[in-house]
Amino acid sequence: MSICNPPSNALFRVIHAGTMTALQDEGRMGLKAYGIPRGGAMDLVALERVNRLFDQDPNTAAWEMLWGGVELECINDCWIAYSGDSQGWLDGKAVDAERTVRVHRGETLRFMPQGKSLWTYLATPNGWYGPQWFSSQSVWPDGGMGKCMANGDFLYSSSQSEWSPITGVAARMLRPRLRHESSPFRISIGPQWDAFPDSSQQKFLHSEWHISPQSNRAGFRLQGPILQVPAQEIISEPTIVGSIQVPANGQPIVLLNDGPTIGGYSKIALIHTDDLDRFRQLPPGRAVQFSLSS
Amino acid sequence: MLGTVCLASFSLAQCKTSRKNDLVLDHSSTVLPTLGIRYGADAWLIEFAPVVSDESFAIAAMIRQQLQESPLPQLREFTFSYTRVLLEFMPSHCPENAPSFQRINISSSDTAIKTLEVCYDGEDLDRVAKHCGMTIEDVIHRHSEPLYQVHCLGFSPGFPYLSGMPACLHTPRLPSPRLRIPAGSVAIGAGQTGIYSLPTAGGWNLIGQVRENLFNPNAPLPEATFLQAGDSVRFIPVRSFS
Repeated sequence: MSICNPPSNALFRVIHAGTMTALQDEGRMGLKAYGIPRGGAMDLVALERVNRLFDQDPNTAAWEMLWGGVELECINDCWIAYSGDSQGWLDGKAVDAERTVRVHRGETLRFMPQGKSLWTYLATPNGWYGPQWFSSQSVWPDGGMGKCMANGDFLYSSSQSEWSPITGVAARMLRPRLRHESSPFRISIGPQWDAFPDSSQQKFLHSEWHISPQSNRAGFRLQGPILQVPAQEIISEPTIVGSIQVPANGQPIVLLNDGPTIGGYSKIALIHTDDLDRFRQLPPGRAVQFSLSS
Repeated sequence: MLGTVCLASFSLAQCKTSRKNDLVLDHSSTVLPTLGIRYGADAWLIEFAPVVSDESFAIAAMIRQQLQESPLPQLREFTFSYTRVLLEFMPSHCPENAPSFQRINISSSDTAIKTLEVCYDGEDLDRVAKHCGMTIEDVIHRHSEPLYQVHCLGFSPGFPYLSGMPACLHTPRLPSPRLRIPAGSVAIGAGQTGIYSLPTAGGWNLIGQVRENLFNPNAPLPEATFLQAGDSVRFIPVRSFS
């Protein structure tokens, strides 16, 4: 594909692809028995909200951007919307998140990191074109399922049909999302909770943990006091997204979307599903506390 | 060990039957003895055997068949390991009580015996030999002798958890996991053996390499994984892949 001769139905040409920008939908379900993790968007609520602006299935894939740093040149007039902490700019003019935006040929759309949360989602009506693996467009490079956005790529709509907003309405937007930014993350006890010494249970519950920079879509590492792990090794067992395992070094790892489906480390706790989106948005260095909920 | 887990999430009556030590295999009952561990709001983790054995393999097959033939209402996903199965339900549809399963006859399955050539040249072969007090030749011989069973797939797509490894090859996991292991690496992690299916991080001892691609994301399921739960596996040692 040459830059001078872009395909006619491409919406954008990628000038800067950012650090890790990839298509994500809600992921693939029912395949853990094959060892295939769910994958999918790290902030499912953000994905759902940005799709809601176009009245489309919350499972429609959007570009998941880590931080931002993405710059796109519009090739064909189109609608977009984004949801997340990055700040969108259209030809140097700030555009609001969670609002439909008309972008015209020749304009440049940029996303600048603001540093408060990790993932921002860029949607277009009918979704973005991209291959599917096991009925999902979610990209997982380590699993051989696609690759991240690269400089020079073209971004296509998955449909030729034009989306039209309600007549007389300039843009659609959502009410701001309510988040309890600083409240502790609710957890349930993990299968090996009881095998951890009392002192480790107490340390786990009452310490401030920090998100380690060595974190990715497979898991977030936590830094804090060293937890003593159970003396007895367990037989490898199934994991859940949000389960918190403690390897021999005593520093917990929260297993996330692209993580292993079976693991051999003791699991002290499990983050409540409703708190996971907020958790997965936490940048490295952020302090985290847990509270046991029944 | 599971007493507190139990008290926190079960009634006391259930708790009495849910002690780990009580999980003995009673052949007279048609209901499989299992231990249900509530795992968050939406899941049950069911322990169906206390240890990895031929028995645990057979029971897993019974439960798998029941889950496939009469799916539990609102069950989103099930994941087997050697001795446990995780049942994940749709949000707010997790049953109050742990599901139970029957002891059934397994319909004659056409499980395959799959043969894989292994080039035993892994980085940790020395470490394993030293730990087990054997020569490298002994390790290769003992590791390639048994007919292994694939208890389940997991960790990464198509990664087989095998049983049947001789106890004398038991070697502790590495103190610190490697960041990237070549796909197709045959490895020993404590008393377990398996084959890394993707270039992932991992802490098992690498002893050899297979040529087969264990996972092809562009093929449909179940063919996307080279091995299936229930398969038998035989390793044939080779000097090199020509």
